[in-house]
Amino acid sequence: MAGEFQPEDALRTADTARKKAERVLYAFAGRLLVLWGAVYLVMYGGGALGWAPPWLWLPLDAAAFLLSFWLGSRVGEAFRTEVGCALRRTWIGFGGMMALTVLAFALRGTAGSLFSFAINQLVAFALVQSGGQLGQRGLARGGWMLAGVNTLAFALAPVAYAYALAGMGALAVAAGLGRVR
Amino acid sequence: MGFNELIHQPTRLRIMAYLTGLGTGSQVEFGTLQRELELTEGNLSRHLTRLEEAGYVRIEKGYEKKRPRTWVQLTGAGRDALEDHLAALEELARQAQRSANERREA
Repeated sequence: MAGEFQPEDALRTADTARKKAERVLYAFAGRLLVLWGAVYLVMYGGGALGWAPPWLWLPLDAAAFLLSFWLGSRVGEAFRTEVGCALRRTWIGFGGMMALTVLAFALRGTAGSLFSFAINQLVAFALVQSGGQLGQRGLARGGWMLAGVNTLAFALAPVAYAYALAGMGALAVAAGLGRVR
Repeated sequence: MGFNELIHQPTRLRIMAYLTGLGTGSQVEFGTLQRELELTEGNLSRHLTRLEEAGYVRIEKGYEKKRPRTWVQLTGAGRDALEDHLAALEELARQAQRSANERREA
C-alpha cells in the first residue's frame, strides 16, 4: 500500500547512504591506482617495446604527481577523516623517502636497474601501508604482489623486468577501474 | 532508547547514516554533503539544525584558503541514537516478517 511504513525501506535507505560514504576513500584509492597503473603500463611496457623514450619518465611522473596531489587536496577539502589523516602522513613519509632515494641515485647515476628496484619497493611499501589504513586487503595484497614481482624479476629475470612491471601496471589499472565505477 | 522519531525522517536518516559511514571523528564539508545526498542548501540546513539541537551532529564554521567552510560531524550521542534506531527498525522488520509468516500458515 502506498505510503505505508516499511522498516526494510528505511534500513535500505540508511544502508545506501552509509555505503556511499564508505566508498569515498575507496574510490580515491581507485583513481590513484588507475593513474599510476597507466604510468607503469606506458613507461615500462612502452619502454620495453621501444616506443616510450626514457626521457618521458620525468615529465610523466611529474604530471602524475601533480594530478595525485590535486586529487588528494580535493578529497581533503571535502572530508576530514582519521583514515584520511593517517593516509596523508603515510604519503608525506613516502614522498620524503622517495625524494631522498631519487637524490642518492641522481648523485650516483640513475641508469642502473637498481634505481627502478628501489623506487618500486618504496611504492609497494606505501601500498601495503595504505591498504592497512583503509582496511582494503586487496590494496595491501597488491602492494605485496608488487614487492614480490619486483624482487623476483630484478633478482632472477632482469630481461623480463620491464614486462613484469608493465603487467603490474595493467593489474593496477584493472583494480582501480573496479573501484571508481 | 529505540525507535527515534527525529531520526526516522528519511532525509535525517540519510544524513546520519552517511556521517556514520565516514567513520568516528570524521567531518564532511557542507557543500559536499549537499551534493552527495542530492539535497538543496535550505533543506540540508534545516535538517542539520534539528539534528544539532538534539546533540546528534556538531557543526563547525571556519575558513579554508580564505573561503568560508562549514564542517559537519556526527557526535557520540548521534552515533548511539542511530544504532538504537536501526536496531529498532530491524526488530520491527522481524516482527512484520513473523506476522506475515503466521498469516500464511493460518
